[in-house]
Amino acid sequence: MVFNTAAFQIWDGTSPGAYNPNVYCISDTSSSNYGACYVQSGLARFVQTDTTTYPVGSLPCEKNNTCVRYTNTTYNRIIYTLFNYGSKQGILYRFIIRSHGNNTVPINNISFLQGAYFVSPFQDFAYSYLFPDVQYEINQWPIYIPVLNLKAYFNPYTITNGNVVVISWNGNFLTSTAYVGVYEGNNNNIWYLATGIITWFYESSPLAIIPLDYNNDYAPHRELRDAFGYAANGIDQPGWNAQDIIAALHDIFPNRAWAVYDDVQKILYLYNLTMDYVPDWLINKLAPVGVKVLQSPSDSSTAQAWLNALNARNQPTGGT
Amino acid sequence: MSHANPPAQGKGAQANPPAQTPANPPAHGPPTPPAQGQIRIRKNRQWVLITPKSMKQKGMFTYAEFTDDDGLDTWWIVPPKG
Repeated sequence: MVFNTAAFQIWDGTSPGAYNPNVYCISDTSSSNYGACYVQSGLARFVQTDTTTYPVGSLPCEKNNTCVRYTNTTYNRIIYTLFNYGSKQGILYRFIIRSHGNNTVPINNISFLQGAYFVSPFQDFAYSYLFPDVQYEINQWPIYIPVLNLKAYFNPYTITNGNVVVISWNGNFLTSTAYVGVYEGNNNNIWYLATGIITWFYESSPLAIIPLDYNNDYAPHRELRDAFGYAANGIDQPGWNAQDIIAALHDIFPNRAWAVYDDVQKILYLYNLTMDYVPDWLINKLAPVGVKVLQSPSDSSTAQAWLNALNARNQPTGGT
Repeated sequence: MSHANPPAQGKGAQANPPAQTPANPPAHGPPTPPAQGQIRIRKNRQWVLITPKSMKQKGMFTYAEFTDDDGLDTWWIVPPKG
């Protein structure tokens, strides 16, 4: 296989199955349920900088773990580092994202859409408009995209809480980095949710299969970046040599669970894992000829944490 | 990672029991039929007889568990019969 196709799904509070507008948060400070989020899947995003009136952890959505709260404002916020492949390249290919925010200002231009997600090879999202072969489609509910959004086609509605926007893009962009960001415009007391999927290609390579936090787990370690690239889904993390990946992961994360796929020998190596923790969908994706257990888990919670994080980033239902 | 080939321990399943899998199998002729409890897997471009410790269906494939020559607990994909 010359290239792999990778995908990352966004399930930030909502999902493609959220057909009506009852998935939202409460930003009216006079409301008794201010700060509550009614989400369907994943975590909504809530910006509230006033930590005196609303201490960190006090919002209802923080208490019941239905949101990520930010206590700073920003113009553009990077939500995900989609991938960072170092000296390797990915080919950003396509995305479609439906964003839902509490900005009720009529939307005529993406630049003024508060709470709208977008994808860029650069951290400076202004350059997003320079994509080659760009085809943006921006819509407010009711949305009519017969092929790309069947639910809107079958069940269009006018949203009563904020606005919903769909952005889709097709093209080819060769880049070693890609980010998912959101335009906030330095606004406070806002919330937004989004669902979508982003696909890209990369050269077939041995893979490091470990869900990492980019800022805290990956970026601080040169050894990891020398051994493999980062991807938000924890799977499509290509390296140069399977044994180098194993050595780096063994040094940095001796107490975590991880897997390494050797794409030459077609062998999946497991560390602090057993075959029972490898989800069927991963087996179907990789189709390994052999699976070898480098080390069995002494504590099953270590293996379960790996599986849960992998499922959360790739399967919203969390099934195996 | 390199792994030495440990001598047979006499317990558990062995990937290459000497009695069934000679080092240089004949290039022609029918393969050695599996004994009771054994299955054939395709490993390193050769047919290898193993006695699986267990079998497991994972996704679209069936895997057999055995202890490989490198001493690691190993699951190997089992081809369909025929």
